[in-house]
Amino acid sequence: MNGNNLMRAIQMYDFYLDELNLYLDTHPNDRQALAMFKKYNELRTAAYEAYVKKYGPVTVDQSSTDSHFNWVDSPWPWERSAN
Amino acid sequence: MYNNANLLNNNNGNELSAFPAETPIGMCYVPFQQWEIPYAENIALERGTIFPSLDLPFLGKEISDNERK
Repeated sequence: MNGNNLMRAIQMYDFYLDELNLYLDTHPNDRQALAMFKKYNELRTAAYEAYVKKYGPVTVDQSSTDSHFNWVDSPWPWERSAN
Repeated sequence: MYNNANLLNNNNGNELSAFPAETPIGMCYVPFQQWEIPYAENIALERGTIFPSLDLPFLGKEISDNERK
């Protein structure tokens, strides 16, 4: 999957989790909604890890700190290659 | 504690019916949302909801003609 598809997948899963969150706020014992929330949460985490592994951190907490702060490697927002 | 007048017990663990047990006249009731099969994630993002029954686009015109035309 290329970057756009991966990011699109993350967006789709994020949206799905927000919707389920709203439903679960008023239906906290709904087993089907709970099972779906768990499923999409795992899908989102996996998609995010795949994206970060390939394209670098999206948020600074995902950056590596073992020897090099790779947060600085991806293009800065104002750099042409960033958009 | 979380409680609600609509309590009923069904297998899905969601113990809330659309309407309370007693519905006296002269009152308004908004049916309590029930679980339904949601859209697939790509469709949900486009439609703006995962619940088909909440997918209510504003169509920008009247559904049926009326006498004013």
